[in-house]
Amino acid sequence: MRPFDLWSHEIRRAGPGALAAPPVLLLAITLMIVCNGFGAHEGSAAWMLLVLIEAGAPLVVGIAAASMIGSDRMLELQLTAPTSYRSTLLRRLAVTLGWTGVCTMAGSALVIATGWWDRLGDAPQGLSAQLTWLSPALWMAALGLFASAALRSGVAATTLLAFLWLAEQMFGAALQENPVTRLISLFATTQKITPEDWLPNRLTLLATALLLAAAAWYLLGDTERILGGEKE
Amino acid sequence: MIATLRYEFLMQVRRPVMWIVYALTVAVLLATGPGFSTLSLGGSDARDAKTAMVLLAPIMMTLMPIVYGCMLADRLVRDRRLGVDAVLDTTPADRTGRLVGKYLGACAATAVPFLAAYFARALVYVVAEGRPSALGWAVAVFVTTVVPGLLFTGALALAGPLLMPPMLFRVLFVVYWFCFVVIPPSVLPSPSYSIISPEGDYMRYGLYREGLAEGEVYRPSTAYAALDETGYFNFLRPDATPATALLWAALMLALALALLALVRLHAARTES
Repeated sequence: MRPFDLWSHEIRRAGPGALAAPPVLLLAITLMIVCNGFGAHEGSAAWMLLVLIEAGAPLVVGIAAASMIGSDRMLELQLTAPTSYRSTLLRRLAVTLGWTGVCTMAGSALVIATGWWDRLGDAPQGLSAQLTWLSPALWMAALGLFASAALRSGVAATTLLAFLWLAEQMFGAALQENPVTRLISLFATTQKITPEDWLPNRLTLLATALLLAAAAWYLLGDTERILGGEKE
Repeated sequence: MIATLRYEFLMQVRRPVMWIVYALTVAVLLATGPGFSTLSLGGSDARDAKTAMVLLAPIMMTLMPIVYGCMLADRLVRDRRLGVDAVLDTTPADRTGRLVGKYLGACAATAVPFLAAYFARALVYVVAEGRPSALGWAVAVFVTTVVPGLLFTGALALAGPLLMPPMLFRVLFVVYWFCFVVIPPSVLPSPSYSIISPEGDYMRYGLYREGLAEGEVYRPSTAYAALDETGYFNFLRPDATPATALLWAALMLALALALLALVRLHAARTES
Protein backbone atom coordinates (compact mmCIF):
# COMPACT_ATOMS: atom_id res chain seq x y z
CA MET A 1 0.00 0.00 0.00
CA ARG A 2 2.85 2.33 0.86
CA PRO A 3 4.24 2.78 -2.66
CA PHE A 4 0.76 3.49 -3.96
CA ASP A 5 0.25 6.20 -1.33
CA LEU A 6 3.59 7.74 -2.17
CA TRP A 7 2.82 7.80 -5.89
CA SER A 8 -0.64 9.28 -5.45
CA HIS A 9 0.89 11.91 -3.17
CA GLU A 10 3.50 12.77 -5.78
CA ILE A 11 0.85 13.08 -8.48
CA ARG A 12 -0.87 15.69 -6.35
CA ARG A 13 2.45 17.35 -5.49
CA ALA A 14 3.54 17.68 -9.12
CA GLY A 15 1.55 20.92 -9.22
CA PRO A 16 -1.19 22.24 -11.47
CA GLY A 17 1.31 23.61 -13.98
CA ALA A 18 2.99 20.28 -14.63
CA LEU A 19 -0.36 18.51 -14.83
CA ALA A 20 -2.07 21.09 -17.05
CA ALA A 21 0.71 21.85 -19.55
CA PRO A 22 0.89 18.45 -21.36
CA PRO A 23 -2.86 18.31 -22.18
CA VAL A 24 -2.56 21.89 -23.44
CA LEU A 25 0.24 20.70 -25.71
CA LEU A 26 -1.96 17.87 -26.97
CA LEU A 27 -4.78 20.34 -27.50
CA ALA A 28 -2.47 22.61 -29.52
CA ILE A 29 -1.47 19.67 -31.73
CA THR A 30 -5.11 18.65 -32.20
CA LEU A 31 -6.19 22.22 -32.99
CA MET A 32 -3.35 22.59 -35.47
CA ILE A 33 -4.50 19.41 -37.26
CA VAL A 34 -8.20 20.25 -37.13
CA CYS A 35 -7.68 23.81 -38.37
CA ASN A 36 -5.34 22.62 -41.10
CA GLY A 37 -2.36 24.57 -39.73
CA PHE A 38 -4.37 27.80 -39.32
CA GLY A 39 -4.00 28.47 -43.02
CA ALA A 40 -0.19 28.42 -43.04
CA HIS A 41 1.72 26.97 -45.95
CA GLU A 42 1.45 23.15 -45.86
CA GLY A 43 5.18 22.60 -45.33
CA SER A 44 5.26 25.22 -42.58
CA ALA A 45 2.25 23.68 -40.86
CA ALA A 46 3.82 20.19 -40.88
CA TRP A 47 7.02 21.71 -39.56
CA MET A 48 5.15 23.51 -36.75
CA LEU A 49 3.53 20.20 -35.75
CA LEU A 50 6.98 18.65 -35.56
CA VAL A 51 8.17 21.61 -33.44
CA LEU A 52 5.25 21.08 -31.08
CA ILE A 53 6.17 17.41 -30.66
CA GLU A 54 9.94 17.73 -30.56
CA ALA A 55 10.24 20.95 -28.54
CA GLY A 56 6.98 21.14 -26.56
CA ALA A 57 7.59 18.19 -24.29
CA PRO A 58 11.21 19.17 -23.43
CA LEU A 59 10.13 22.69 -22.45
CA VAL A 60 7.41 21.45 -20.09
CA VAL A 61 9.46 18.68 -18.53
CA GLY A 62 12.63 20.76 -18.28
CA ILE A 63 11.03 23.71 -16.52
CA ALA A 64 9.05 21.38 -14.24
CA ALA A 65 12.25 19.56 -13.28
CA ALA A 66 14.11 22.81 -12.73
CA SER A 67 11.50 24.22 -10.36
CA MET A 68 11.08 21.08 -8.28
CA ILE A 69 13.77 21.28 -5.62
CA GLY A 70 12.93 22.98 -2.37
CA SER A 71 9.32 23.75 -3.19
CA ASP A 72 8.07 21.63 -0.30
CA ARG A 73 6.94 23.08 2.96
CA MET A 74 8.72 21.92 6.08
CA LEU A 75 11.52 20.49 4.04
CA GLU A 76 13.58 19.97 7.18
CA LEU A 77 11.01 17.51 8.40
CA GLN A 78 10.88 15.70 5.10
CA LEU A 79 14.66 15.34 5.06
CA THR A 80 14.50 13.36 8.30
CA ALA A 81 12.01 10.86 6.86
CA PRO A 82 13.23 7.35 5.96
CA THR A 83 12.35 7.95 2.30
CA SER A 84 15.28 9.89 0.90
CA TYR A 85 14.44 13.25 -0.61
CA ARG A 86 16.16 12.55 -3.89
CA SER A 87 14.05 9.48 -4.51
CA THR A 88 10.99 11.61 -3.75
CA LEU A 89 12.19 14.09 -6.36
CA LEU A 90 12.80 11.34 -8.90
CA ARG A 91 9.33 9.95 -8.28
CA ARG A 92 7.84 13.40 -8.81
CA LEU A 93 9.89 13.84 -11.96
CA ALA A 94 8.73 10.43 -13.19
CA VAL A 95 5.12 11.53 -12.73
CA THR A 96 5.70 14.67 -14.82
CA LEU A 97 7.72 12.79 -17.42
CA GLY A 98 5.19 9.99 -17.65
CA TRP A 99 2.22 12.30 -17.99
CA THR A 100 3.96 14.48 -20.58
CA GLY A 101 5.07 11.32 -22.39
CA VAL A 102 1.52 9.96 -22.57
CA CYS A 103 0.20 13.24 -23.96
CA THR A 104 3.03 13.69 -26.46
CA MET A 105 2.76 10.09 -27.63
CA ALA A 106 -0.96 10.59 -28.20
CA GLY A 107 -0.16 13.79 -30.10
CA SER A 108 2.47 12.14 -32.29
CA ALA A 109 0.14 9.19 -32.95
CA LEU A 110 -2.45 11.69 -34.10
CA VAL A 111 0.05 13.42 -36.38
CA ILE A 112 1.15 10.09 -37.86
CA ALA A 113 -2.44 8.83 -38.28
CA THR A 114 -3.61 11.95 -40.08
CA GLY A 115 -0.72 11.75 -42.53
CA TRP A 116 0.99 15.00 -41.51
CA TRP A 117 4.11 13.10 -40.47
CA ASP A 118 4.65 11.83 -44.03
CA ARG A 119 4.59 15.39 -45.38
CA LEU A 120 7.82 16.07 -43.49
CA GLY A 121 9.99 14.34 -46.05
CA ASP A 122 12.81 12.47 -44.35
CA ALA A 123 11.30 12.32 -40.85
CA PRO A 124 12.19 9.15 -38.90
CA GLN A 125 9.73 6.30 -39.22
CA GLY A 126 8.55 3.49 -36.95
CA LEU A 127 9.13 3.15 -33.24
CA SER A 128 12.32 5.23 -33.28
CA ALA A 129 10.18 8.21 -34.30
CA GLN A 130 9.30 8.51 -30.62
CA LEU A 131 12.94 9.37 -29.91
CA THR A 132 12.14 12.68 -31.61
CA TRP A 133 10.72 14.01 -28.38
CA LEU A 134 11.98 11.48 -25.81
CA SER A 135 15.69 12.27 -26.13
CA PRO A 136 15.45 16.07 -25.82
CA ALA A 137 12.81 15.74 -23.09
CA LEU A 138 15.02 13.51 -20.95
CA TRP A 139 18.02 15.73 -21.65
CA MET A 140 16.20 18.91 -20.61
CA ALA A 141 14.78 17.22 -17.50
CA ALA A 142 18.23 16.03 -16.45
CA LEU A 143 19.74 19.45 -17.13
CA GLY A 144 16.92 21.13 -15.18
CA LEU A 145 17.49 18.94 -12.16
CA PHE A 146 21.25 19.37 -12.38
CA ALA A 147 21.10 23.15 -12.84
CA SER A 148 18.75 23.68 -9.93
CA ALA A 149 20.92 21.47 -7.71
CA ALA A 150 24.15 23.14 -8.83
CA LEU A 151 22.92 26.75 -8.73
CA ARG A 152 20.73 26.09 -5.70
CA SER A 153 17.99 28.22 -7.20
CA GLY A 154 14.91 27.14 -9.08
CA VAL A 155 14.50 30.58 -10.66
CA ALA A 156 18.00 30.52 -12.10
CA ALA A 157 17.57 26.97 -13.40
CA THR A 158 14.21 27.65 -15.07
CA THR A 159 15.54 30.86 -16.62
CA LEU A 160 18.58 29.05 -18.01
CA LEU A 161 16.42 26.31 -19.47
CA ALA A 162 14.02 28.78 -21.01
CA PHE A 163 16.94 30.63 -22.57
CA LEU A 164 18.58 27.46 -23.83
CA TRP A 165 15.35 26.23 -25.37
CA LEU A 166 14.86 29.45 -27.30
CA ALA A 167 18.55 29.72 -28.24
CA GLU A 168 18.45 26.19 -29.66
CA GLN A 169 15.39 27.13 -31.65
CA MET A 170 17.02 30.26 -33.04
CA PHE A 171 20.63 29.19 -33.51
CA GLY A 172 20.27 25.40 -33.61
CA ALA A 173 21.00 25.39 -37.34
CA ALA A 174 24.47 26.78 -36.57
CA LEU A 175 25.13 23.74 -34.35
CA GLN A 176 24.63 21.44 -37.34
CA GLU A 177 27.76 22.74 -39.04
CA ASN A 178 30.18 21.25 -36.52
CA PRO A 179 30.32 17.42 -36.24
CA VAL A 180 30.67 17.55 -32.43
CA THR A 181 27.91 20.06 -31.68
CA ARG A 182 25.74 18.27 -34.24
CA LEU A 183 25.57 15.37 -31.80
CA ILE A 184 24.12 17.43 -28.96
CA SER A 185 21.76 19.62 -30.96
CA LEU A 186 18.46 19.28 -29.12
CA PHE A 187 15.99 19.92 -31.91
CA ALA A 188 17.87 18.19 -34.68
CA THR A 189 14.75 16.76 -36.34
CA THR A 190 13.10 20.13 -36.88
CA GLN A 191 16.42 21.61 -37.99
CA LYS A 192 16.72 18.96 -40.69
CA ILE A 193 19.83 17.12 -39.59
CA THR A 194 21.17 14.68 -42.19
CA PRO A 195 19.31 11.34 -41.74
CA GLU A 196 22.47 9.31 -40.96
CA ASP A 197 23.37 11.68 -38.10
CA TRP A 198 19.93 11.58 -36.56
CA LEU A 199 20.19 8.37 -34.53
CA PRO A 200 23.70 9.12 -33.18
CA ASN A 201 22.42 12.55 -32.12
CA ARG A 202 19.44 11.04 -30.26
CA LEU A 203 21.61 8.41 -28.54
CA THR A 204 24.24 10.98 -27.53
CA LEU A 205 21.49 13.07 -25.99
CA LEU A 206 20.26 10.07 -24.00
CA ALA A 207 23.79 9.26 -22.81
CA THR A 208 24.56 12.84 -21.77
CA ALA A 209 21.17 13.04 -20.06
CA LEU A 210 22.18 10.03 -18.01
CA LEU A 211 25.44 11.75 -17.05
CA LEU A 212 23.65 14.94 -16.05
CA ALA A 213 21.12 12.99 -14.02
CA ALA A 214 23.92 11.11 -12.26
CA ALA A 215 25.63 14.41 -11.41
CA ALA A 216 22.33 15.80 -10.11
CA TRP A 217 21.76 12.64 -8.06
CA TYR A 218 25.20 13.08 -6.49
CA LEU A 219 24.63 16.77 -5.69
CA LEU A 220 21.21 16.04 -4.19
CA GLY A 221 22.78 13.66 -1.71
CA ASP A 222 24.01 16.75 0.13
CA THR A 223 21.06 17.80 2.28
CA GLU A 224 22.65 21.11 3.13
CA ARG A 225 22.61 21.98 -0.55
CA ILE A 226 18.86 21.35 -0.68
CA LEU A 227 18.12 23.35 2.45
CA GLY A 228 20.41 26.25 1.63
CA GLY A 229 20.42 28.22 -1.56
CA GLU A 230 18.16 31.00 -2.61
CA LYS A 231 14.80 31.16 -0.98
CA GLU A 232 12.77 33.01 -3.54
CA MET B 1 7.37 55.08 -4.26
CA ILE B 2 11.01 56.20 -4.30
CA ALA B 3 11.75 54.14 -1.19
CA THR B 4 10.15 51.03 -2.71
CA LEU B 5 11.99 51.65 -5.97
CA ARG B 6 15.31 51.94 -4.20
CA TYR B 7 14.72 48.88 -2.07
CA GLU B 8 13.46 46.70 -4.93
CA PHE B 9 16.38 47.78 -7.09
CA LEU B 10 18.96 46.90 -4.45
CA MET B 11 17.23 43.63 -3.56
CA GLN B 12 17.27 42.43 -7.17
CA VAL B 13 20.65 43.82 -8.19
CA ARG B 14 22.36 42.08 -5.27
CA ARG B 15 20.97 38.68 -6.21
CA PRO B 16 24.00 36.61 -7.18
CA VAL B 17 22.01 34.13 -9.28
CA MET B 18 20.78 36.90 -11.54
CA TRP B 19 24.35 37.79 -12.45
CA ILE B 20 25.33 34.13 -12.80
CA VAL B 21 22.43 33.43 -15.17
CA TYR B 22 23.16 36.53 -17.26
CA ALA B 23 26.86 35.64 -17.42
CA LEU B 24 26.07 32.12 -18.60
CA THR B 25 23.59 33.31 -21.20
CA VAL B 26 25.93 35.98 -22.59
CA ALA B 27 28.58 33.25 -22.83
CA VAL B 28 26.13 31.10 -24.82
CA LEU B 29 25.34 34.10 -27.01
CA LEU B 30 29.04 34.65 -27.68
CA ALA B 31 29.67 30.98 -28.40
CA THR B 32 26.69 30.09 -30.60
CA GLY B 33 24.85 33.19 -31.75
CA PRO B 34 26.77 34.42 -34.75
CA GLY B 35 25.29 37.92 -34.47
CA PHE B 36 26.67 39.09 -31.15
CA SER B 37 30.34 38.72 -32.04
CA THR B 38 30.15 39.96 -35.63
CA LEU B 39 27.31 42.51 -35.25
CA SER B 40 25.64 41.38 -38.42
CA LEU B 41 22.36 39.68 -39.17
CA GLY B 42 22.65 37.61 -42.28
CA GLY B 43 22.72 39.88 -45.31
CA SER B 44 23.13 43.25 -43.66
CA ASP B 45 26.72 44.10 -42.77
CA ALA B 46 27.68 46.58 -40.09
CA ARG B 47 29.21 49.15 -42.41
CA ASP B 48 29.13 52.19 -40.16
CA ALA B 49 28.75 52.97 -36.47
CA LYS B 50 25.04 53.70 -36.73
CA THR B 51 24.18 50.45 -38.52
CA ALA B 52 26.29 48.43 -36.09
CA MET B 53 24.47 49.85 -33.07
CA VAL B 54 21.05 49.58 -34.73
CA LEU B 55 21.79 45.89 -35.36
CA LEU B 56 23.02 45.32 -31.81
CA ALA B 57 19.52 46.02 -30.48
CA PRO B 58 17.67 43.21 -32.35
CA ILE B 59 20.56 40.83 -31.62
CA MET B 60 20.08 41.44 -27.90
CA MET B 61 16.29 41.68 -28.06
CA THR B 62 15.86 38.28 -29.68
CA LEU B 63 16.96 36.21 -26.71
CA MET B 64 17.92 38.27 -23.68
CA PRO B 65 14.38 39.40 -22.73
CA ILE B 66 13.68 35.74 -21.90
CA VAL B 67 16.23 35.96 -19.09
CA TYR B 68 14.92 39.37 -18.09
CA GLY B 69 11.28 38.23 -17.98
CA CYS B 70 11.94 34.94 -16.19
CA MET B 71 14.07 36.63 -13.54
CA LEU B 72 11.30 39.19 -12.94
CA ALA B 73 8.46 36.67 -12.84
CA ASP B 74 8.64 35.90 -9.12
CA ARG B 75 8.97 39.49 -7.86
CA LEU B 76 5.31 40.25 -7.25
CA VAL B 77 4.02 36.86 -6.10
CA ARG B 78 6.99 36.55 -3.77
CA ASP B 79 5.57 39.21 -1.43
CA ARG B 80 2.43 37.20 -0.93
CA ARG B 81 4.22 33.91 -0.47
CA LEU B 82 6.52 35.33 2.17
CA GLY B 83 3.61 37.14 3.81
CA VAL B 84 5.30 40.53 3.74
CA ASP B 85 2.50 42.11 1.69
CA ALA B 86 0.25 42.06 4.76
CA VAL B 87 2.92 43.91 6.72
CA LEU B 88 3.54 46.39 3.92
CA ASP B 89 -0.21 47.05 3.65
CA THR B 90 -0.18 48.43 7.19
CA THR B 91 2.40 51.07 6.29
CA PRO B 92 1.20 54.50 5.22
CA ALA B 93 2.78 53.95 1.78
CA ASP B 94 0.28 54.30 -1.03
CA ARG B 95 -0.45 50.99 -2.78
CA THR B 96 -0.22 52.37 -6.30
CA GLY B 97 3.05 54.06 -5.45
CA ARG B 98 4.37 50.81 -4.04
CA LEU B 99 3.41 48.90 -7.17
CA VAL B 100 5.01 51.47 -9.48
CA GLY B 101 8.12 51.57 -7.32
CA LYS B 102 8.33 47.80 -7.36
CA TYR B 103 7.86 47.68 -11.12
CA LEU B 104 10.43 50.36 -11.91
CA GLY B 105 12.93 49.20 -9.30
CA ALA B 106 12.84 45.51 -10.18
CA CYS B 107 12.81 46.18 -13.94
CA ALA B 108 15.73 48.61 -13.69
CA ALA B 109 17.77 46.19 -11.61
CA THR B 110 17.09 43.24 -13.92
CA ALA B 111 18.01 45.41 -16.89
CA VAL B 112 21.41 46.32 -15.39
CA PRO B 113 23.24 43.17 -16.64
CA PHE B 114 21.39 43.55 -19.96
CA LEU B 115 22.63 47.12 -20.17
CA ALA B 116 26.13 46.06 -19.17
CA ALA B 117 26.30 43.43 -21.94
CA TYR B 118 24.90 45.89 -24.46
CA PHE B 119 27.28 48.72 -23.68
CA ALA B 120 30.24 46.37 -23.27
CA ARG B 121 29.65 45.20 -26.84
CA ALA B 122 29.30 48.82 -27.97
CA LEU B 123 32.57 49.74 -26.22
CA VAL B 124 34.38 46.81 -27.82
CA TYR B 125 33.15 48.09 -31.17
CA VAL B 126 34.32 51.63 -30.39
CA VAL B 127 37.80 50.43 -29.40
CA ALA B 128 38.17 47.89 -32.21
CA GLU B 129 36.88 50.13 -34.99
CA GLY B 130 37.98 53.48 -33.56
CA ARG B 131 34.56 55.09 -34.01
CA PRO B 132 33.56 56.93 -30.83
CA SER B 133 30.32 58.12 -32.43
CA ALA B 134 29.02 54.57 -31.93
CA LEU B 135 28.58 55.30 -28.21
CA GLY B 136 26.14 58.10 -28.95
CA TRP B 137 24.22 55.84 -31.31
CA ALA B 138 24.27 53.07 -28.70
CA VAL B 139 22.63 55.35 -26.14
CA ALA B 140 20.04 56.59 -28.65
CA VAL B 141 19.17 53.08 -29.84
CA PHE B 142 19.00 51.79 -26.28
CA VAL B 143 16.56 54.48 -25.19
CA THR B 144 14.35 54.29 -28.26
CA THR B 145 14.39 50.56 -29.07
CA VAL B 146 15.35 48.55 -26.01
CA VAL B 147 13.73 50.52 -23.19
CA PRO B 148 10.12 50.47 -24.52
CA GLY B 149 10.38 46.74 -25.25
CA LEU B 150 11.76 46.00 -21.80
CA LEU B 151 9.13 48.16 -20.06
CA PHE B 152 6.36 46.14 -21.70
CA THR B 153 8.05 42.77 -21.10
CA GLY B 154 8.64 43.72 -17.47
CA ALA B 155 4.98 44.56 -16.89
CA LEU B 156 3.98 41.29 -18.55
CA ALA B 157 6.37 39.30 -16.38
CA LEU B 158 5.07 40.93 -13.20
CA ALA B 159 1.40 40.51 -14.10
CA GLY B 160 1.45 36.99 -15.56
CA PRO B 161 2.30 34.97 -12.42
CA LEU B 162 -0.70 36.49 -10.60
CA LEU B 163 -2.95 34.37 -12.80
CA MET B 164 -1.01 31.12 -12.78
CA PRO B 165 1.87 29.39 -11.01
CA PRO B 166 5.23 31.00 -11.92
CA MET B 167 6.40 27.70 -13.42
CA LEU B 168 3.52 27.65 -15.89
CA PHE B 169 4.02 31.33 -16.58
CA ARG B 170 7.64 30.77 -17.56
CA VAL B 171 6.62 28.03 -19.99
CA LEU B 172 3.93 30.24 -21.50
CA PHE B 173 6.28 33.23 -21.60
CA VAL B 174 8.79 31.27 -23.68
CA VAL B 175 5.98 30.04 -25.93
CA TYR B 176 4.72 33.61 -26.28
CA TRP B 177 8.18 34.91 -27.13
CA PHE B 178 8.76 32.15 -29.67
CA CYS B 179 5.35 32.21 -31.37
CA PHE B 180 4.39 35.88 -31.10
CA VAL B 181 7.68 37.76 -31.23
CA VAL B 182 10.59 36.04 -32.95
CA ILE B 183 9.09 33.49 -35.34
CA PRO B 184 8.70 34.84 -38.88
CA PRO B 185 5.00 35.18 -39.81
CA SER B 186 5.70 33.05 -42.87
CA VAL B 187 6.02 29.99 -40.62
CA LEU B 188 3.13 30.60 -38.26
CA PRO B 189 0.48 33.25 -38.74
CA SER B 190 1.00 35.34 -35.59
CA PRO B 191 1.40 39.02 -34.70
CA SER B 192 5.19 38.75 -34.64
CA TYR B 193 7.15 41.73 -36.01
CA SER B 194 3.98 43.81 -35.77
CA ILE B 195 3.37 47.09 -33.99
CA ILE B 196 2.43 45.29 -30.76
CA SER B 197 5.44 43.00 -30.57
CA PRO B 198 8.27 44.20 -28.34
CA GLU B 199 11.34 43.35 -30.44
CA GLY B 200 11.56 46.84 -31.96
CA ASP B 201 11.68 46.36 -35.73
CA TYR B 202 9.66 49.52 -36.16
CA MET B 203 12.47 51.59 -34.65
CA ARG B 204 15.07 49.70 -36.66
CA TYR B 205 13.39 50.35 -40.02
CA GLY B 206 11.15 53.31 -39.26
CA LEU B 207 13.35 55.66 -37.30
CA TYR B 208 16.86 54.44 -38.15
CA ARG B 209 16.06 53.18 -41.66
CA GLU B 210 18.57 50.35 -41.40
CA GLY B 211 19.57 48.92 -44.80
CA LEU B 212 17.04 51.02 -46.71
CA ALA B 213 17.79 53.05 -49.80
CA GLU B 214 16.88 56.73 -50.03
CA GLY B 215 13.11 57.12 -50.25
CA GLU B 216 12.49 53.38 -49.76
CA VAL B 217 9.84 52.43 -47.19
CA TYR B 218 9.94 49.16 -45.26
CA ARG B 219 6.59 47.35 -45.43
CA PRO B 220 6.37 44.60 -42.81
CA SER B 221 3.06 43.46 -44.31
CA THR B 222 4.72 42.45 -47.57
CA ALA B 223 8.20 41.56 -46.27
CA TYR B 224 7.11 37.99 -45.56
CA ALA B 225 4.46 37.74 -48.24
CA ALA B 226 6.38 35.19 -50.29
CA LEU B 227 5.30 32.39 -47.97
CA ASP B 228 2.61 33.88 -45.77
CA GLU B 229 -0.62 33.49 -47.68
CA THR B 230 -2.93 34.34 -44.81
CA GLY B 231 -1.83 37.77 -43.62
CA TYR B 232 -4.27 37.58 -40.70
CA PHE B 233 -2.36 40.13 -38.66
CA ASN B 234 -1.31 42.48 -41.40
CA PHE B 235 -3.66 45.15 -40.05
CA LEU B 236 -1.14 45.36 -37.18
CA ARG B 237 1.72 45.92 -39.59
CA PRO B 238 1.58 49.46 -40.98
CA ASP B 239 4.52 50.68 -43.05
CA ALA B 240 7.57 51.53 -40.94
CA THR B 241 7.98 55.31 -40.79
CA PRO B 242 9.27 57.60 -38.02
CA ALA B 243 5.64 58.19 -37.03
CA THR B 244 4.80 54.48 -36.70
CA ALA B 245 8.07 53.96 -34.83
CA LEU B 246 6.94 56.51 -32.25
CA LEU B 247 3.49 54.91 -32.25
CA TRP B 248 5.15 51.57 -31.48
CA ALA B 249 6.98 53.08 -28.48
CA ALA B 250 3.76 54.73 -27.27
CA LEU B 251 1.88 51.43 -27.64
CA MET B 252 4.53 49.58 -25.64
CA LEU B 253 4.19 52.13 -22.84
CA ALA B 254 0.39 52.05 -23.01
CA LEU B 255 0.32 48.23 -22.87
CA ALA B 256 2.71 48.26 -19.90
CA LEU B 257 0.49 50.78 -18.10
CA ALA B 258 -2.62 48.73 -18.90
CA LEU B 259 -0.99 45.61 -17.45
CA LEU B 260 0.03 47.50 -14.31
CA ALA B 261 -3.53 48.82 -13.96
CA LEU B 262 -4.77 45.23 -14.12
CA VAL B 263 -2.28 44.23 -11.43
CA ARG B 264 -3.52 47.12 -9.28
CA LEU B 265 -7.14 46.06 -9.80
CA HIS B 266 -6.24 42.49 -8.94
CA ALA B 267 -4.63 43.72 -5.72
CA ALA B 268 -7.70 45.83 -4.91
CA ARG B 269 -9.98 42.85 -5.44
CA THR B 270 -8.01 40.60 -3.11
CA GLU B 271 -7.45 43.29 -0.49
CA SER B 272 -10.25 42.26 1.83
